[in-house]
Amino acid sequence: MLNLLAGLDTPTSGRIEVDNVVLGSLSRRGLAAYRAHRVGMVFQSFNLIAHYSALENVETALLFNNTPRPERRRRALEILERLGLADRVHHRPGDLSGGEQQRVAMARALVKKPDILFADEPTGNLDHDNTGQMAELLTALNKDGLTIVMVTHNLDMARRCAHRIIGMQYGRLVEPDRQKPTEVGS
Amino acid sequence: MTFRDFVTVSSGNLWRMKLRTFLTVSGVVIAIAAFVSMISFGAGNQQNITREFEELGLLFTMQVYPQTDKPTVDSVKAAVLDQAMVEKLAQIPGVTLAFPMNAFTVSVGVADTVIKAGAQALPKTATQTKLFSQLQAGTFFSADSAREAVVTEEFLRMAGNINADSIIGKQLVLTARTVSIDSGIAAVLPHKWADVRNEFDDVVLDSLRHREYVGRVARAKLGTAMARFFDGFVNSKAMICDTLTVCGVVKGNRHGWLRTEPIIIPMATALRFTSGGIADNPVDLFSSMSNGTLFGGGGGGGASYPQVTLQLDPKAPYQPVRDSVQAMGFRCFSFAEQFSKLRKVFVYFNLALGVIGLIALITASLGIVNTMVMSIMERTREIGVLKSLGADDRDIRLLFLVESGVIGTIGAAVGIVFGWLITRAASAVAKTLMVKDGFGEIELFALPLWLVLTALGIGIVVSLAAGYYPAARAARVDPVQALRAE
Repeated sequence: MLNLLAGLDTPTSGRIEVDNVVLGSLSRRGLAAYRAHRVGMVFQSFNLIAHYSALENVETALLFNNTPRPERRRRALEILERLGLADRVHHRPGDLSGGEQQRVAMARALVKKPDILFADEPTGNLDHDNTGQMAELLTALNKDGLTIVMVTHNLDMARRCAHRIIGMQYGRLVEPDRQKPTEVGS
Repeated sequence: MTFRDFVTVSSGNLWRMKLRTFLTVSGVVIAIAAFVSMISFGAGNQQNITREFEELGLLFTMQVYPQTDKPTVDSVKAAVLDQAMVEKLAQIPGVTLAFPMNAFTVSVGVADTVIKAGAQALPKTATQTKLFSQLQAGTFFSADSAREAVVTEEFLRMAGNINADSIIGKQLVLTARTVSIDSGIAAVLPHKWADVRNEFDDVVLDSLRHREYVGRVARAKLGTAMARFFDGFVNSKAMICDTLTVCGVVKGNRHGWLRTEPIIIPMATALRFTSGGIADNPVDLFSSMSNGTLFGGGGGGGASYPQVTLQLDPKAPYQPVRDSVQAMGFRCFSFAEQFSKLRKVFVYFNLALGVIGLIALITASLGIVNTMVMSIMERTREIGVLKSLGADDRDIRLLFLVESGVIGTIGAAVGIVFGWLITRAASAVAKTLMVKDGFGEIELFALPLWLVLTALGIGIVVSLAAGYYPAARAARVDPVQALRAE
């Protein structure tokens, strides 16, 4: 579903509209531009480029939206610092812990200031502590105004963070929409 | 992505796979080095010939010869290249100078040595042309009637490797033996009246009524007359001797269309040798009989020349001059025309060498294809990530194309240097062998700018062509599948 929403995949039937953009009407190039400018993606397996440093991985996200070279470096350092990775910027993914790798992936998704963040099981490969930190980060980002669509098997985390939860099984809705408790978020 | 981004990212990827990149680039280096060294050989030879043409001013020189076809009974008499005709040729618009090739054989006494050498007469004006500009020592003769001579390097070798500077001012004793047709005719004619009467006494008058007897007597008398002619012709040789001072040494030209005889004598001074009769050698004799000048006197006023050289105005086109010469009934040989044909030959020669070099390059390009395909297979997931970050098909295609372009550029640049080093080594060996064999040091290889640029261009184009298929394949990678790839 996230691949469809991010414009990586095309539906065999139906129509996808994201923030007034009908994805089916976009060309392959248009879809690439949509991903480059409006969408951030975080994957369960991080999908960092192994031979790039944390800084280079984050900078790569700005390669395709015409951000000038010095600006790319500045923004990448800024977001990594904000996510507590200032001393890990030159480390490669293999030298980072799972939590750090996921924060690098998060930095890569956020550095281009997307309108929507698609997160595919962002805590799936993290331990309990890192899962908690990630949940806090996502909540904070959401509070700052970022729309987040997250797929997770962690229902507790979903209840803690989400405004709206949709249950799916084998590609079909299995329970109706329900509102998140008011004490968690507005 | 800017071009700089593409180059940075691609170079980084290549640097990461050092060994594979090194091996792939090495293939291109070897291919380009082979291409450069082979074309360099063609270019070197072309440069040598062009230089020689320019140094000798051959592009502005035309050779004129009599027609080889013998005139038939009904045809007009073939045009003869005599002195009057030389002057006429000099009047053709676009011709700045006309001088004949007037060669003869002389015995030359220099110091204690006597050698037989070819000599040629040359007007002083001709010595100012580029053809004779390569003066090694001394000067050219001061006037057409000066008792001076210029010798070539070939003469110095014939005379026992004399030093060019040391021969200047030395005396050359030139001797020519000529035979005259007049002496043969004189021997046929009886010297005394009594001899005539004796001839008639031998004839039986009564028998003159018999046709057979008349025939026999006539044949016998004719045979005797011919014997007397040849006896007088061969044994009445005239010796012409003159002493000339060597005033200069020129490089000379030993072969080809513009062969220079070892001794060059001023035009008027040479008349003394050429007006005495036919040179005393069978070749000149038969040559005179063949071209119909046996009875035409010596090389003086009425002599015909086998060849006349025309010096052309560099600004005037040679075509009208050639047309005029042909209209006068002569054959001509234009060096400019030959040079343009030669250039075409060199183009084909270089093309043939280039094709051989390209075969090596095609083999190297297969290496590039292999490297790029391997790279794509290994980086499928990376391609998926880049697409998820916003890379479109064109970005991915360009990323891999630039990668193969970088391989080609580095390979071509190093290959050119490597090829140049090969030519330097080959040139050093060739020069050593040439000096050993008595040739001068000739540079057989050349690396002109056009060759450097062509090699660089071909290296890049071939590598881009090799990278096109893998790059297109990378661009077609489905990002969803790629992100799932291990």
